[in-house]
Amino acid sequence: MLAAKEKARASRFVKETDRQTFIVAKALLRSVLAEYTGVSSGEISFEHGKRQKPRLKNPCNLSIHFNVSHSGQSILFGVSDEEIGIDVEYYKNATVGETDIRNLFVGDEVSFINNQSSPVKTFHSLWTRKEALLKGTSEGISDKIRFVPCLTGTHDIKPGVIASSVNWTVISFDADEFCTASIAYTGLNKQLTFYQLDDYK
Amino acid sequence: MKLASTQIQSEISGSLNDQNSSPAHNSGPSGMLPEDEVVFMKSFNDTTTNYSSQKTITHLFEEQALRTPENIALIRHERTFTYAQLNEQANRLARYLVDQGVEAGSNVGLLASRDFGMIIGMYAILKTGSAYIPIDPDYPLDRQKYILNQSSASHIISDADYPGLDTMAEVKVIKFNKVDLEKFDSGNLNIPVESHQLAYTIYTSGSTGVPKGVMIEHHSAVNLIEWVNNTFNIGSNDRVLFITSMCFDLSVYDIFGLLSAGGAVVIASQEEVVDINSLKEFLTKYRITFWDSVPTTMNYLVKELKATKEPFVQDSLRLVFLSGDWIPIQLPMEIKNYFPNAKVISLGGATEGTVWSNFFEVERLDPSWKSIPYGRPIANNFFYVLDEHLKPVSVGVMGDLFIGGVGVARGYANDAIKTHHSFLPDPFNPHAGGRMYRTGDLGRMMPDGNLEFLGRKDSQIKIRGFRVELGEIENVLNKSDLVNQAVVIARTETDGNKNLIAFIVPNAEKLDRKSILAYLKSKLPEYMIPALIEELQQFPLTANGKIDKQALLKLELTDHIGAGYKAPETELQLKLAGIWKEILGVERVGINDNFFELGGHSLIAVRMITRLEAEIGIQFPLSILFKYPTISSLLSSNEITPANVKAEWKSLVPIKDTGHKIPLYIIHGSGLNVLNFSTIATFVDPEQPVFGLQAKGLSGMEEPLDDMIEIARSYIVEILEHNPTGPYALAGYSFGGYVAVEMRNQLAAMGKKVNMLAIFDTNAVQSDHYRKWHQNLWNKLKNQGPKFKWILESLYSRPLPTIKYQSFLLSRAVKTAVTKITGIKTSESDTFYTRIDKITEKHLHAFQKYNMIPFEDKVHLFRAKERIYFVNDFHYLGWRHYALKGVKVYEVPGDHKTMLLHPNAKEFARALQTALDNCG
Repeated sequence: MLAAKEKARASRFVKETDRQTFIVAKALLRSVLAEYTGVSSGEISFEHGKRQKPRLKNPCNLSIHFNVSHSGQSILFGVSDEEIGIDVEYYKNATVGETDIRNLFVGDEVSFINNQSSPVKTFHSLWTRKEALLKGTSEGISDKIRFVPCLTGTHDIKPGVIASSVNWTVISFDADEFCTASIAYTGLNKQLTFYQLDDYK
Repeated sequence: MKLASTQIQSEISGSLNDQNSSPAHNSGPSGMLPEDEVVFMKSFNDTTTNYSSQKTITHLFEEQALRTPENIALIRHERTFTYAQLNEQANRLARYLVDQGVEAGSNVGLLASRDFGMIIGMYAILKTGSAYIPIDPDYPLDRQKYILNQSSASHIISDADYPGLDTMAEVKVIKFNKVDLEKFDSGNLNIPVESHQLAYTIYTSGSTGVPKGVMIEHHSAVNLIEWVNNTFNIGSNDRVLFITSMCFDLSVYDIFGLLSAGGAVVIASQEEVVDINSLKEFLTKYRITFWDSVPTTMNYLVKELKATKEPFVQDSLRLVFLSGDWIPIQLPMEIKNYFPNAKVISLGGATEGTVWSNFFEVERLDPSWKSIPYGRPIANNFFYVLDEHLKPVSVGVMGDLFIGGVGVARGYANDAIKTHHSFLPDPFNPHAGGRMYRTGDLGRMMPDGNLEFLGRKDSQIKIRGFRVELGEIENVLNKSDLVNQAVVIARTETDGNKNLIAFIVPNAEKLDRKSILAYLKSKLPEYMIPALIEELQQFPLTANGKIDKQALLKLELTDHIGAGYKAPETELQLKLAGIWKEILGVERVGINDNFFELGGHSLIAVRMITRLEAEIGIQFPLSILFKYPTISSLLSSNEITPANVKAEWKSLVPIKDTGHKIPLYIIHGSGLNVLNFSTIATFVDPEQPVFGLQAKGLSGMEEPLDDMIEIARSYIVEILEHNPTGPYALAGYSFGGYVAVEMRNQLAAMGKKVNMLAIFDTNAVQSDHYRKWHQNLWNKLKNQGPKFKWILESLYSRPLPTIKYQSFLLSRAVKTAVTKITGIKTSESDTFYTRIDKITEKHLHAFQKYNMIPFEDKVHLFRAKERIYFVNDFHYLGWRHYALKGVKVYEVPGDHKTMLLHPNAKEFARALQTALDNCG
């Protein structure tokens, strides 16, 4: 089902678990997109869009956007009719130092993390919010990520922080035990549906 | 003893003149060839023919319009324009342009898409007596603006409202689609235009990435047009399919050539140009007789005809002109399968030589050919195969190709330096044009009187020390049945090594890698086998229809060099690898291992940056690992250097930055860094600022330069940044003397004032000897390092203390510098010395290529009293030949090295200050 490029990349992972996750993620992504596009999974092809964000090579101009993230044992796919970003972090064995917090978060975020009963989880959860949003806007990680707001509430984003002029909603959830995730999508009132692999036919 | 060899080179530069000049070198341009070869070359270049040297391309067209007013000139789909209509419309527009202030002799930008308006616009501009500068509306706006500014265009005319047109503030914009031209008179304007005025300036992409404007005069184009039209009997029945961009000079013949002969130009739109099926259809529908394109386009067409398998024969096509790139060797014969009446003509040349300078009619395929022969020069053009000293080489010997004759361009627009480098006086045919153009191509003369093209000089690369011509590998690949088309590229890896990558469009559905590798191994030596083979469905093309090699290099490859593990070596690499191992939890990290393939992901990447900052003191952008995912790429990327560290490694180093006098800039010698000038700086006048310029590449963060012009240019850029107006005082020590001369020339060309040019004990050697002798020496050095070192050491029995002192100075400088950058204390056995060797080699190369010419200035020569080697011209060290305004000699105590040090530095500084004050 995988393209030659994907197979080649799979072969280069050093750790077997990374390789397997990569292969499963790519194969599942193809199956998921096959459902939405009606194209068979092996025929689906990808290209790079804005700032190298992977997107569907889409001759029929279907309005299908997706984003993928994996960490630990979890693989998440987000699919939408508009731009979407998703991020998951597995934090079971993670440690978080004060420098990490100060490097990646600003203002109230720092004290918020430090005041939680589980700062490690909060650190990762808030981080996924930032990263999901920047993946949604096709920007990815940059120095600006510090300034992407992530505390619960409504924020007016200062000009220049994200490359988008529309409203975004970011929602966090637990994807699994020790696994926190966020999804970022455009608009404020979109209907979200969660599927687990078992449900997904 | 590494240091000894780098220092001694400065003395070598002073010791060369003991080789007396041999008369052979001075006996005129062809002095070295035997008599029969001289005769052979003469007859090869015996092309002088009468042509309408007083006419312009406008004359040719206006005369034709008078002869055949009702002939069809332009065709686009169902629309046509006769010669009379085209001429009248161009006349009206020209009158409008004159009304708008376009004056004869100016440059006018033309922004137009592929339609009648483009050609009307060209003739209208020419009729005003101006030159046109084609600008593709699809070019990025920055490039459009660059071309407009660089060419000092007075106006830009456009056939539509293109985005960004209104932001072209510096020029006057004329949108002629908005104008009712009917009210203007349609008769010829008859504005007098000399045939030596410019007809057009076409911007070509230089290999350096900055486009250069090639300025072509009318008579050059007239010569080309008359040659084609007479040689191939172009006339009223001919129709060309115009598929080339107007920004590419094949368009010059398509338009002005056909329209001087009564034929028609069939215009394909931008979309149609890239659609093989449209081209196929047009060929038949319009009964095209003349095809003119880069080989790639024709190759695609033929492959398409082959693939569709439906019978296709077009018998009206009588001429196929292929130029601009390698011609796949089977292509000419394949063309004849579908176009039985077509003659295939291979042409070569350069935009700088007015479209084409040589041609060869391919009538049959000789199995012994490695490539289609380049042929012979066209009328009033000459070809020379020269060695590095601009002397002709013998038949069969490879050399640099030069074009001479009336087609040679006037030069590059507003770029005296590049013009000076590429356009030289033609000593072989001083009267027809009188200048020759250095093409950058390699070739040789075949015994049958045809030239053989051997590739671009810059496509000849070295792989593990072997010289490899990429075209040769491509030809082997293209001969395989498995391959539809192949391109081979050398990719410079982050460690500086090169790898060959073959991009292949297979004949079958899928490329059979094993077979193709086996095939390559049966035909080529091991070092020519590409390390990577990448399968493509089709090649990316440039706007000109050539294969876009830059785009190929940017492709994400599926093939991968397997044996990529390379252990970390330097301290910094080891440190980074250690941190990676720890954070990623892997056992082994090589410098070419990809962070993400080792299990890294975004959050880890970001936290890694935190660690790096804490442990080695460099603050990277958070996104750095996404861009540079391996240790080696990370360390060799320029972008990782924070601005403050970067500043430390500028070439310009303030040695003493106080004082109000005209600052002195001293250019390093072979020791490459400028610390040896610090003693002098302590003894100059308190009001005298002194700056040093040290070699690029010393920091290891950037590639050392190997071209004297580029070295000088890079220093000037830094000097101008810090002192934009001048005046300047320049001094060069040892090797730096030549750099200083080149800088002086470049500054003078910019109109900047150089008050003093001082030379610190550099021997101005006759470059011929220097090069030959030096090159041999260098080769020897490379081949037999230890032995050579011994020779050097015994040859120049230098006082040991001096060497030790210098070595102390240098190693101290290195350590401080490296510590500043990395925060890491280095051991003495740092790779820094490898770096110095590399820079020295590059500079030697720069010197070997450099051709110092006499200049209108005075040289202040600071000559060491003690000379431990022999020089030819003891008094002036050879400078009298170059400094046309004279040489003033200051004798200073000490020898070449010690004159700058205690106790001699004091007197040196005093003499220097006196000289500076007298020049102020």
